[in-house]
This record gives sequence, C-alpha cells and structure tokens, in this order.
Amino acid sequence: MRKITVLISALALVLTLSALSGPQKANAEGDPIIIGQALDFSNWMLTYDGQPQRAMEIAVEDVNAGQLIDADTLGVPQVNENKGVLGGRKLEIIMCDTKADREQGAKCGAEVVQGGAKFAAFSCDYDMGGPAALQYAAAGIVGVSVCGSDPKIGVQGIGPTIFTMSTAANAQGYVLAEWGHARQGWRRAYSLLDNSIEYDKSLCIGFNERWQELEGAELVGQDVFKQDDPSIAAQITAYKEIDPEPDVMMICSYIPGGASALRQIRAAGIETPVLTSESFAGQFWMDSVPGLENYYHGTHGNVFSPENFTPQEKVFLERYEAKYGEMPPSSHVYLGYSMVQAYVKALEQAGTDDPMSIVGAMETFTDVPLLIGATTWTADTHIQNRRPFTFFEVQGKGHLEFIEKFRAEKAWDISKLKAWD
Amino acid sequence: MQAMGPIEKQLRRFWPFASLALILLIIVVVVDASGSILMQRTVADGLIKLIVVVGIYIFMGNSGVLSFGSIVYMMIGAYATAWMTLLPNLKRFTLPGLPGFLIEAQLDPFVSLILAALLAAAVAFVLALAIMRTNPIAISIATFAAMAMGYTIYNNWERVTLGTSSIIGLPMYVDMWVVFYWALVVMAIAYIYQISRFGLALRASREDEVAARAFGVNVYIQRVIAFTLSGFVVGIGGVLHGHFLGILTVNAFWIQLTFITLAMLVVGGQNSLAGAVVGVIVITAATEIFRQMEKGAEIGSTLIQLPLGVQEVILGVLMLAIMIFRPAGIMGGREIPWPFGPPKPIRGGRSRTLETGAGKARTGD
Amino acid sequence: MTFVLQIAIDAISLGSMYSLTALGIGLIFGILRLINFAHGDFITIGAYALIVPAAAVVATPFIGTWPAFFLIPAIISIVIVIALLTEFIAFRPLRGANMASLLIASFAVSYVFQHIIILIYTGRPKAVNVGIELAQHIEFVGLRVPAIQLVAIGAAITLLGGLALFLKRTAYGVQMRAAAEDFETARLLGVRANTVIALAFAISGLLAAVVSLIFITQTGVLSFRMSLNLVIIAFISTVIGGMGSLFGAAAGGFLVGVMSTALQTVLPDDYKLTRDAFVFGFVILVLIFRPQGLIVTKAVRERV
Repeated sequence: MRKITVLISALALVLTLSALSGPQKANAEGDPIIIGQALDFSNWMLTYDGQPQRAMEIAVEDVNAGQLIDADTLGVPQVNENKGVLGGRKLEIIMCDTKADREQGAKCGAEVVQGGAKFAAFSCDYDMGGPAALQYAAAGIVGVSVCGSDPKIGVQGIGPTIFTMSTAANAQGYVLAEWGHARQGWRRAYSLLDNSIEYDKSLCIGFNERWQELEGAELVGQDVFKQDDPSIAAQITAYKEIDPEPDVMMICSYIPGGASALRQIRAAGIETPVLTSESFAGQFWMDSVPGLENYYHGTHGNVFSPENFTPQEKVFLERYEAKYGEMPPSSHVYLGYSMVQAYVKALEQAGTDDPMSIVGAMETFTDVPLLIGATTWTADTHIQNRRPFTFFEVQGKGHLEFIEKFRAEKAWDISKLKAWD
Repeated sequence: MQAMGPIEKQLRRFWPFASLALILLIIVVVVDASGSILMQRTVADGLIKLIVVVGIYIFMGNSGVLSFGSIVYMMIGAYATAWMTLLPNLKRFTLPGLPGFLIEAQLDPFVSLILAALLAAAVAFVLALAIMRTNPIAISIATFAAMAMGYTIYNNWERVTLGTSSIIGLPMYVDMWVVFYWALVVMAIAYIYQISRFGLALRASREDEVAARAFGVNVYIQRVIAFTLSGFVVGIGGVLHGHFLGILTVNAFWIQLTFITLAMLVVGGQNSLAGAVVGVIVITAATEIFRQMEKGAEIGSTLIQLPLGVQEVILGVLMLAIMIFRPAGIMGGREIPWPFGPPKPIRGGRSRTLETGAGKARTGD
Repeated sequence: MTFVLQIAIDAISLGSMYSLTALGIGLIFGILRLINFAHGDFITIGAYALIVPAAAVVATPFIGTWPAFFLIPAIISIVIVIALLTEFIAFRPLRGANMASLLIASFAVSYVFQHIIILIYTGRPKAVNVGIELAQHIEFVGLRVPAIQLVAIGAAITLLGGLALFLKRTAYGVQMRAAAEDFETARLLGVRANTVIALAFAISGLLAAVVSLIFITQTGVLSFRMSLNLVIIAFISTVIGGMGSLFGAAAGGFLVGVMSTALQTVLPDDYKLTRDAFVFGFVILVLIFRPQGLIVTKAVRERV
C-alpha cells in the first residue's frame, strides 16, 4: 500500500511540475504575432488537417521573409515585400496536437489561447474542431477552421469570432448541380448519400434542392448507405431497377467509404456518370476503381494540372515542393495559405491585432482573390457560399483532368440553415 | 490499545472514502495553485472520467458482472441536459422534434443535472428489469447491445439529437472545482452504497451467487438497484461532460470512450472504489506525461521527445502490461487501509467483506 | 422475382462475411470467454499487408501484385502469425483472468495495433486494387451478380465444411470442441490447454485472412478502422446464434446478414440507417428470452 501512496505522490508531483512549466507569454508591441494551431498532427484527422497546416507554415515563413504571395494581385505573381506585419512584427505559429480527440481538442483550444494567440486555426470538421473553436469563441479570439464545410461553423453555430476558409457543403451542392445541368446537360439525377457525417447530408441536401429548381431537371431517385458498410449490394440492386438509367449519380460521401461504393458500382456494370465533391479529394484512392471513367469531380482548386495553374498557385506549389519534397495530394492545401493571407490583409486593414477589429476587417472581404479563390465574408456569413469550384474529369487514365473553373449563379443563403430539418 | 471512540470508529469506517477525497483534494489544490488553465482542464477532464468510472464501478465492482455498455447513460444524461438548458430560441429551430415543454424549458443547471441523471437512471432501470434475470455473460452482452441500439437511435434521431451533427450552446459552467465537488458526491454515493445493506448483499452474490441466494439475497433485485444507481451516476458524468465541452456529438459516446473508461476501472482494480479512483489517476497522468513527452519534455538537461503518435502505442502496451502483471488491477480489490494501527474487525465483519475479492482473479492455470 | 433472388444473393453473400468473422470470434469466445476485439485488427492487418509499409499518400502494392497462388497463402500466413503472436504475448499470460480483464486486454491489443498502423501508414485511407476480376459482375442463373459474392458464399461453405470435418474427425478437433463447450472439464480430462488455444487462434487467423481478402476485393480501400463495424456485427451474430456453439455462430452471421439486407430494402429512406438498431434490439430479445442463443446444441443447453 505504501508503494501506491508513493506512486500517487509522484504522479501529483509530475502533474504539478508540468503545470508550473506551462507557457506564459506577454504580448507587447514588437513581439511576434502568434497564430495558434489546434490541429491533429498524429491521428486520422491528419489526413484533412495536415496539408493546410503545412501551407500555414509556408505562409508564415513567407510573411517573415517578405515574400508573401499578395492577396490582391490575381493574375500577376506579385509579393508583399513587407517583412512581418504591423510595422515589422514577425508571425509565429504555436501548435497543439488534438489527436482527433474532442477533450484534447478543447484543451488545445485553451492552450493556444493561453499561449497568446489572437488568431488560431482549428480542425476541419465541426464535430472534431468544435471543442477548440468554442474555447476560441469564449476567449474572444478569432478562430478559423482550416477546411470545415459545415455552415454552423460561424456566427450562427459557434460564435461571432469564428470563421471557416471553406465553402459551405450546401453551396458545394449548388455549384455541382448548376455545373452538371449547364455544362454537361444532365437532366435526370440520382443521389446516393452516405448518412454517417453531417457534411455528406448537407451536400446532398444542397444538391437535391438546387437540382430540382433547375429547368427540366428531375431527381429520379435517392438512396442511403453507411460509410463502413462492407457491401452496398442492396443499394446497387435497387438502383438497377430505375428505368431509364439516370444521367448522373451524385455521391455524397468521403474516402474510404465513397471509393469503396464507387468500386462496387462500377464493378456492377453501372457506367452512369458519377459526380463528387471535395470530400473525394485528390486521386490517391483511384487504384480502388481501376479503369475509372465518366467520373466528374468539383473541388476547391487545382493542384493536378500544371498547364492550368494560376500564377499564384504556381509560385506556391514550387515553394511547397521545395520545402516538403512532394506535391500536395489535394487542393485543401491552398486553404491553409489563404488563411494566413487573409489574416495579413485583415491586420493591415485594421492596423491592430485586436480580435474584434480583425473580425470587422474580415467581414468586409468581398471577392478578395486569395490563393484559394475569391473570398467573401459578411457579418452573418462566415463561410463561402459562392466561391468558384474547379471541375475535373477522369476518363480511363487514372488521373484527374482539368475541365474548368465554374461559379454558381445562385448563392446558397445561410438563412436556410434555420430550417434544415 | 484503547477501545475505539465513536469518532474514530466513524473515521475508520469512512476512511476509504475520506482518503480518496483527500488525494483528489491535494491534486486539485496543487493544480489550482499552479494557475495553469491547461492543467486545470486536464484534471477536470480526468475527474469527469472519474465520475463515469465510479458510476460503472457501482454496478460492475459490486456485482462482478461486466458492464460493457455504460457509456450510453452518459450520452443520455448529456443530451437530456442539452434539451433542458439550451436557449429556447435555438431549440425551436434546431431540435423541433422535442416536446413543447422541453423546447420552452431553460432550467437551472443543478435542476437540469438531477433530472438528466434521473432520465439516465430510468432508462438503466427499464433495461435492468428486462435483462438482469439472465446469466452474467448474457447481461454483459445485453448492456452492450443496448448501448449500440441507443447509439444508433441517437445518431439518426435528427429532430431531437441533431443526429450526426453536433449540438452547440450548452452553458459552459463546469470547471475543475465544479467537477471536483461532484466527484466527491459521486464517490460518497458509491461508498455509502457499497457499505449499505444493498451493496453488501450484491457483493455477497459476487463472491458466491448460490450461497447468497441461500441467505435470502434476491440477486435480481440487487442487480437492478445497482444498475439503476450506476446509470444515475454515469448520467451525472455525461451532464458535466456536456457543460464542460459545450458541444455534444453522438459519435463521442462509443467504443473509444467505453474502452478507456473500462480500462481505467480494470487497471485500477474493479473490485474496490479505490481501484476505480486510482485507475483514473494513473491513466490520466500517464496520458498527460506521454503527451508532454511528445511535445518534448526537459528532464534535467536532457530533452526527451517521443515521435508523434507513439503516445497511444505506449499507453496501450502499459495497460496490457498492468493487466498481465496485476490481473486484479493496481489496488487488487482493496480499499486504502486505515494508516493508524491494524484494522479491528467491526461488529458484523463489514470491513472484511470490503477487502475480499483480491484473490479471485487468478483461477484456471 | 429476379429482384427478390438478387436480394437473396446480396443477403447471403453479406451473411457469408459476417458468418466467417463470427466464427473466428465465436471460436475464441467459446474457449476463453474472451470477446476478441483484436480480431478486427487481424482482418485490417491482412489487408494492409498487401501494400508496402510506408506513409506515402499513394500506396505501392507489394504482396498485392503477386499472383493469387502466392498472394492468398502469404496473407493467410501473415495473419496467422499475428494471431499466434497476440495469443502468446497478450492472452497467454492472462489465462483464467476474468472476462473484464480479458476484454480490456483485447481492447488494448486492438488499440496498439491501430496506432501502429497509423504510425507506419498514417491515418489516411489507402487504395489497393486486388482481384478486380472478381469484383466484376457475371451472369448467374439469369442474374447478374459480382463474382466476389459467389466467392464469399463459396469460401464460407468450404471453410465451414472444412472446420466441421476438422472438429468432428480429428483428435485436435474433438479436443477443441470439448474445450469450447466446457474448458475446465476438458482440461481435467487431459486436453492440453495451450495447444488447443493456440490452434484456435491459428484458425481464427485463417478465417480473418479470408475475410480480409474478400473485404478488400469488394471495397478496394484500406483504413485503420475498416473492420470495427464488421467485428461488432459479427460479435452480435455469435450471440444470436448461441455463444459457445460454432455452428450457432456461423448461422447467426447468416441470419444477421439476411436481416440487414432485408431491412435496408424494406425500410423507408429516413429509417434505413436505423436498421442496426433493429438488429441490436433483436439481440437483446434473444438474450432475454433465449440466452443460450437461437441455435442450441445439446451440450450448450445443459451448460448455460
């Protein structure tokens, strides 16, 4: 029993020591401006958080070296030559590993706040990023999700200082529907929903809603499956009963389950064109569906087709490759760089790093040409609802081929958020 | 030695509880004095797990029946408190499936906590009535099946739980001290229960079910009581969890949390309250220490840094090692003994009953 | 009619996968009272063994490129070795420990496996294309079904048959059945516990490897949590069929496969995904009214 008492006292001591060594930083003029990162560095969310996280590092190095790709010069590769911001203050990143764990996420949120950050990133997803975001909101600092697409991230859901870099899932559904209707001439659509996460649901809701508004378009069927279903044979059997075959199959899912569904669909001899959104990011999964054809994909931007890079993208990707020795697997990487671009612009505009002033500056953004594309925030919409999407196709060559950038005519209205049931 | 005075007698009787409360108090005071928000959050988080683990212990430790599906009561408690404390305006839009009186309700956190825990207890009670007559293995699995069922329902019950999305907006009134007070209450409940007539009867059935029946113990009723109380306490843990994080997701109440809480209990020693508490402290501390080492911890002049992601592997191996080298857990089924003088048997032999169970784990080989 | 037949085949092939997994879990549970959550990781490891261990985003096939004649035995051997190592390192020292300790041990093993996979391969899902020919549909008595479904059904029948013969006709088989039905008595009668248990783990490894190959042929994607759901469903199946009865475990797997497919087809859209709730509810009913399981062997009935 004495051993246990000793053990417990030792633990208490260790806890105390690590408590006392916590970070304590004052923030005076001239000190670095601290950007927090409560992201997953080691668990499964790394797939989503990792790329934007790397891009943020590049952006911060760029700011400090006076070579940030300028947010205002789309079309011409220009740089912002100020070293640092607000009269030469350097940017500095502090990071905390959330390990894709909610409690740890909240802790990281608190840690980043305590570390002196007034602007901080949180995980891609509303569920996983929410706990950290709530800590930011409570402390009144600016929190930006690196790629969360749930419209509840923002004023309506978490708080007035919370933003996301991404496009609302519903708005993604809008742009996909309009593009398919206008550019591919599809009229009869079928949607297959993986009901396991909110993103998928919002995406399909947006798609179905917009599709039915379009002229001559009709939604001829829908079905659901679950991310970890080992087989979707029953859904395939039901799909084959639809006569005549739909023009397009919209799949609202993500990798791995989405790729698995697609493999089974193609193997079943169903050659209907398939349309997917950013959650099917990249082409790393395409070995799952050998000989994939008639596959259409809309996403944030282009990292695959060098001849179609914008000057901004080209400069950024060169720096990325130089630093990490590989090309990024998906365009989510642009979101991280754009976040820092947006912050620098807001800092310069506000002339201070006071969070409420930064929020005010960010809310005036109207089609600001960041690396990721035209970015608009308003007082009630802290998420993109009509940013152009980049469309790709796969026609049997096993990789994404650039088609075009396309912007929806109709913006998704965030006030619909209140009636989503 | 002199005869025990009545005060010493009571002190001795409640020492197993008081000693644990003292340990927690020391930790909380030290961490509070350190001023580190981060450590306070770590400790608060650990204490919430402690409440849940003590809740599981109330059934599992006293009955000896594995409860594999207790986390569902945490989920029920957490969602129930969300229904009662969110702003009515928010609920009208986001949770339209709630009955009208719940939509309009905005209760005091304390009242809401009690009601939410009572709901968890009521669900546990109904399940217990149905399943506690079968054999122990079937009971364990039925608790798991019930959890899986509850999980699936909450995950798809959009209009009431928001389904796969997160509920945000729970008042975040919970800090380390709030959790600490509730941890004391919960430990007191667990301890008073285990030395009560009911607890003793159930413990008797744990040691020898047939003999206990022969002495007139209605094992069915006793298990139902324990399971209901367990549901209540785990429900409290769920409520505090909700108000601590301010955000709720059904996905959080699943295998991972089941595993970590059960592991805490079993690693500490499932047959005593001290085991439950020590298990939580050890695993929370180990996790935090490894996390610090991943960030790079300076011990003396050497910097120890684990590669990212190694923490979990070490933690898993550590738990396995404890299981292998101390199959009855760290505390081996014992409470923390009275430090002043040898234990004197109290009339009725109550203290003896509390200290059995240690030698039971290794049979077979 | 064709539609119904088609659904029946969907159901039976899904049932085959559940059944093979349930058998692996049921075998160990019967002997050790261990709910082996690591069984799912055996399946996952079998699938990951197909690619080169690396963190790269695009997976490079390794064993996955070998001809089936080498590929199948290689994967089976790897998974069997992993299963035996697990038994030797983690479960053997825990002989006779109570159910909770065993469960936690298996959880811990599973946790360690998953995080090792994350360390080596990262948490990003990976693509691997194995046996795409089998994923294609073929004409079969007027139906178009994926060949893999027939393979799954065939594998289930073959392995069940083989296992039944092994259990009935060989000395080790008889010992194993005896151990599954009453471990303590069997030991008193001279059954060598460690040998029988090691054999059981080897067989469960074999079953996991086969499931792994069917799974990956069907889905083409690897992720470190790919088997969690499968294991939970399979475990539930063993309960429905009857714990301790191997035939029951297999039959329970088929039953749950048929139930899931039928519910998916019959339920209205909004409720389709609550199908699992029905399955779990059914399990509770079984446990309350027939705790010995739906399929009862004579010995089991006497024991429980």
